[in-house]
Amino acid sequence: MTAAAGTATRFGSVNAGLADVNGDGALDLYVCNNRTDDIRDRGQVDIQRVNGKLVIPPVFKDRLSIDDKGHFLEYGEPDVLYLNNGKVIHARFLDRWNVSG
Amino acid sequence: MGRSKLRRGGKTGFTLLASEQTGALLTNSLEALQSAGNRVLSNGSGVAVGDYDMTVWWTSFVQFERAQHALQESGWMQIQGCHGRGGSYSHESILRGATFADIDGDGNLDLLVATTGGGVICYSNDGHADFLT
Repeated sequence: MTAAAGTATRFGSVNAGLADVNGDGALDLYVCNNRTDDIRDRGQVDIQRVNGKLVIPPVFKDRLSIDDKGHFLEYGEPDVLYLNNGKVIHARFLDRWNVSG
Repeated sequence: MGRSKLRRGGKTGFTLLASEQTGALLTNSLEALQSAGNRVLSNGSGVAVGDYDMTVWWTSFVQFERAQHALQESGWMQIQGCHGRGGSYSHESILRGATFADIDGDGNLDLLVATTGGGVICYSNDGHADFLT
């Protein structure tokens, strides 16, 4: 059923809620994602200083940022809203859009 | 959530029930080494409550951080004689949140389980309280 629903991902999902968000009478699915791990568990992340400014490596550009005070911020994976198209025996959800986590 | 019977004239609010009353004598344990290796796991995991076997009594799916305990050894669900089958996903992922909902419109509560690294697993309730992936 999971394969038919299309909800299997590589995300670190933490919870799921259902509601008919588009009013078509079918339950849609909102999935909250965090991450499968925390960057602090990696022991070391190499950050370069370029022209006196700390720069996030490209591999972490969607995961880390540095605020004005030099604090590191880690972002979660995007949440996902699946709209139920109701065309198969087991409800199939469409990944409509992602929201930054 | 399912075909529950709501009492007319009932009071708003919740009443705390002791574990001895509910039978929910469960502890979601996480070993220190696991937590140290991945602090995301310390965020905990969830519980879903619903009348998935149509007994009009709320029954629950309580999950543990460790996937192997999730379906077949998970307290209430085991007590209620409900077993998961075909759970290849459940043995590969760490389970987090859980939600009951009738997602295929057959009148039975299905089970959705959020996992760390596997997205959301959808278990279909076959109407006999067996959940199939």
